[in-house]
Amino acid sequence: MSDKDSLFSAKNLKLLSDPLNSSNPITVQVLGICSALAVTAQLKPAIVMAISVTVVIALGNVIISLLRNTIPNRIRIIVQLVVIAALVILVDQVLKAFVYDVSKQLSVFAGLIITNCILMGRLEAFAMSNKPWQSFLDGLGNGAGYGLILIIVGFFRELLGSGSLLGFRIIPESWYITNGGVYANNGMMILPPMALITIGLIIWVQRSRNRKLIEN
Amino acid sequence: MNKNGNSYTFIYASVMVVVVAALLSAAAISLKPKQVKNAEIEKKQNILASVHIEATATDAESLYEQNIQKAYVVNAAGEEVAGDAFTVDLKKERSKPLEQRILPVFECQTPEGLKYILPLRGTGLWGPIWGYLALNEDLNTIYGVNFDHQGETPGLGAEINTPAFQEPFRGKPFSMPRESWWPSSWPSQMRRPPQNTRSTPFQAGPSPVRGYSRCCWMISPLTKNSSPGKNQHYER
Repeated sequence: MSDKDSLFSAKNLKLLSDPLNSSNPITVQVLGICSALAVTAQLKPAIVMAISVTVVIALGNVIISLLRNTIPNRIRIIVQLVVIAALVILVDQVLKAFVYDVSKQLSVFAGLIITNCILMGRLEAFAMSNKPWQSFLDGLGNGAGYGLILIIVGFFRELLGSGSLLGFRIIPESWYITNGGVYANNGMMILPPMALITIGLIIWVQRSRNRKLIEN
Repeated sequence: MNKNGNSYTFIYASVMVVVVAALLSAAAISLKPKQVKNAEIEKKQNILASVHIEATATDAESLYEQNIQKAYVVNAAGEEVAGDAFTVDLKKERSKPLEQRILPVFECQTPEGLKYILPLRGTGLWGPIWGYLALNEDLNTIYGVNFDHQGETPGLGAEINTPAFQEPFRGKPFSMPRESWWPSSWPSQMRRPPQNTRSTPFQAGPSPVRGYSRCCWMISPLTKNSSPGKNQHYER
């Protein structure tokens, strides 16, 4: 009989804080790279995507954790997939009904949350063998870690690629070559390859600061 | 019951499928009226935006009632026919041959005169793009435009729904010298017209329909990411 931790014990809080740095889903577990490249061309869709993915992971983790003792082993992955797909469709429908302009921001990417490897990864690795509250915290933590990287990448891509942030102009118009200045937007930053290189740079910084993450 | 046995697995899968299907259908049916309303309000906001009337989601309906005085449907010959302009689906009309299409026209009386608003639809890079073109009474000068898209790339094709893209259309006439077709801020390679296209400017005429199917031509090259030398496919 396991002893019950308090709701916010140190062990439980570690589930929230680990994925932000030492077990970050994108930079350490290397999951969810596809959407990190696709939606981060601007900062606002990146933020909306991060919140949506966090909601879906947290709820998905709780549901699978509640069902974990009843799922037959042979259809385990299929059940996880059905839960993820149903949640994403629900989130998409709710967004379209209640916050229409936000759903326009996400457009096709809302449905693509189903393909995000982080969801299947956490359901299989954590929710199938842990209690609901711990699974919920793990889901929140991984969502937050994912969101953190998305926001950092989106910040630099929008700033260097369009000279704006959240739609507000940051680099003054007068600096641009077309207006007599010397600056031009870095067009490569808007394209996915530079997002991958940005993530690579973040991984580099993270591993220099934390030697334990370096694989031998 | 054995959790890993065949009958349990089968029953479990069946129950799960039924529960999920019921849940999703219930959600979709109950949320559908709100979603349809949101799409309608957005359409009204876009129509108003093409005549430079800013509308939020809350006041779009009343502003639309006030400002769009007439909305009617014309056939390919330009004669008015029966129909509800707001609900005409341009996607369906585009699949019909030109003679059988019915096309909506909206009229707005602004302080600067009567404006005709024509809905447009064309093909972007990743999906459909559409918009509203507001023309002055001479049916040759653009009063304003509004564009939108389904899934273009943020920062690239998605720029068509930003004011920075839509503002330069204002005041441009259809028949104008080729050098001024594009903003002067664009580099010279992009200001050449693509090959295999018409080299004469449009014929503007008294019927709004004549400029109509050609307007779809206008927005396609501005969003496709190919170089000017490549073969372009245009909707006529």
